[in-house]
Amino acid sequence: METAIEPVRILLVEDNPVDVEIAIRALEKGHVKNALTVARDGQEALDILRDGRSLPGIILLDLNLPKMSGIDVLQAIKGDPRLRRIPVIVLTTSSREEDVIRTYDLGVNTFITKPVQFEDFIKVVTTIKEYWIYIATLPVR
Amino acid sequence: MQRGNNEDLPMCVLVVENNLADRELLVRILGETHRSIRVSAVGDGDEALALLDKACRGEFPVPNLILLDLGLTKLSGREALRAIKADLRLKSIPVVVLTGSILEGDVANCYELGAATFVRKPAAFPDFVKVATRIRDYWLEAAVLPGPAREREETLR
Repeated sequence: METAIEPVRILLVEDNPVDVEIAIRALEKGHVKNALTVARDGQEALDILRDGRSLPGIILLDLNLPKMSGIDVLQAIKGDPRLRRIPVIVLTTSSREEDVIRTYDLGVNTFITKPVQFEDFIKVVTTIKEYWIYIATLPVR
Repeated sequence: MQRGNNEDLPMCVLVVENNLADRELLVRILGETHRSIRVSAVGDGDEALALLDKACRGEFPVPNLILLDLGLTKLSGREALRAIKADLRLKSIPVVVLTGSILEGDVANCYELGAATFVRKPAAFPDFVKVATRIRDYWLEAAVLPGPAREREETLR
């Protein structure tokens, strides 16, 4: 089941440099070399998605972003016929019920709260990676 | 308000699967968690919609997560997914499509319709157990699901 796995292009939308570092470590670890692109704010994420390059297999999206909020980015992705089928995983410090319901209503594929502890954060990112790479069938790889 | 993953509140998962052996296995594996959980299972798309309709009327807990097979008989999984995502009371519930019967275009189509994930059901039993276990760990341990059943019922009333 876990053999012959193609690497996945991942777009990480995150402005906190420490969280970016942790996510990179967890996402790039292992025998599958995933191609990771980082966008530091919401506008940059949409620019990357709309510049005609190949689309990512999954998008990891923080909610609290400069310039354009994660909710607005999610709404733009899920409202764009070219982008809306790409799975978006919200990874955020928020655990507010309003954010959870709002993002699921907008079509988020999973809402995940970012753990405060470093080790737990690594573990969560690894779980996300393994689920989407080994278990899910992606619309784009 | 409590977050969706509050461990004291029961989570409700609905399994829609017409193969009895697969259905029983999913119910068993999903139930093997330290969380308080209620797993309900039905065998067809029309039964699923009937149960969800009852849930909207407050006669049954609103599921926090749905596992949906595509190869159903009376009402297909695609039609059930379309109906769930078109219903404002139900659309926030993540629907994981878990199916062995895959037609051309199914993957893209299910994501377009709003499936949270498309998962191929492996034919070999040990692989199916592994996949079901990963689904459980991802959705019931890592993810925050939209509201515990009790709260959802309150907000829907």
